[in-house]
Amino acid sequence: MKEIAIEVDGVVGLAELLESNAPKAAAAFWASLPIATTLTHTQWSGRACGFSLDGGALQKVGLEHPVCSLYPGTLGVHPERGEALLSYGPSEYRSELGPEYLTRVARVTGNREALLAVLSRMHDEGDKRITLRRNSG
Amino acid sequence: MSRRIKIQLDGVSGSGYLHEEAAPTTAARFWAALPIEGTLRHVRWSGDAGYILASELADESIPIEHAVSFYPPGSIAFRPEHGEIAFCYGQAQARDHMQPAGRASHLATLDRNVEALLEAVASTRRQGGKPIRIEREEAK
Repeated sequence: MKEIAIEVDGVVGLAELLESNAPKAAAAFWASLPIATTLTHTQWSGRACGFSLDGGALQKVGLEHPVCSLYPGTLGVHPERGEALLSYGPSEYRSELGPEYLTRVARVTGNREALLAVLSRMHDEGDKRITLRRNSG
Repeated sequence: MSRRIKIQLDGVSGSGYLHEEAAPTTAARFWAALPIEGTLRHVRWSGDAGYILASELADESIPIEHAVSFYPPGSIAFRPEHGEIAFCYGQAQARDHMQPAGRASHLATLDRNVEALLEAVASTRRQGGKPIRIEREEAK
């Protein structure tokens, strides 16, 4: 099982790469690591925070097993739009047009509560840096 | 002449007028509750807007008046079920986790120092919550 270390505001959580759910997107996302960028609270999608993805291989991958709703701790991507969302509570991928679809590529399983608590605080505290890297154990 | 309200958000002041004829119950309840102080946070579901929750105004029996689903920029919208007062600076709609397209009362419209005030509202998305005070602007 491949794991991603996700760090926000000094808190590190571990996420399981969902290879069986979305083999193409998961592989392309894994290849795009490490990522270091700005994390911003979403304004349409509820209790989730988002960041931009660079182009590359991921942008050429279509949606796989697409969903609208994201359970807390789920990392979803919309490859064509270059968007990623990490949820900390009830959320649904939406735009100004309404509900949209995305692909789930990872699920936070380690230090989950602490990481989600940091994301929740962003509603009050504003932007933070996020880093995602392959976890070597 | 319409009753006027003054808004102070993180050092920026602006003002607007209540839609008393179109939203009489909402405007009267809101006016009676002033001043209101709290933290303006950016909406999570509704797009380009900031909001505060005024628990003293949360009352599902208050009717929706001057109904809107999409909020015009510069408008102040009120959702009675939440006591939510939303300040719209761009493209926004009455939404939450249950409703992808709800309704709100268009309570008031900003008309003085609008641009600066809406910039301050927009900044809450990247900078987090900011202190806000809404009070009566008494006629001179």
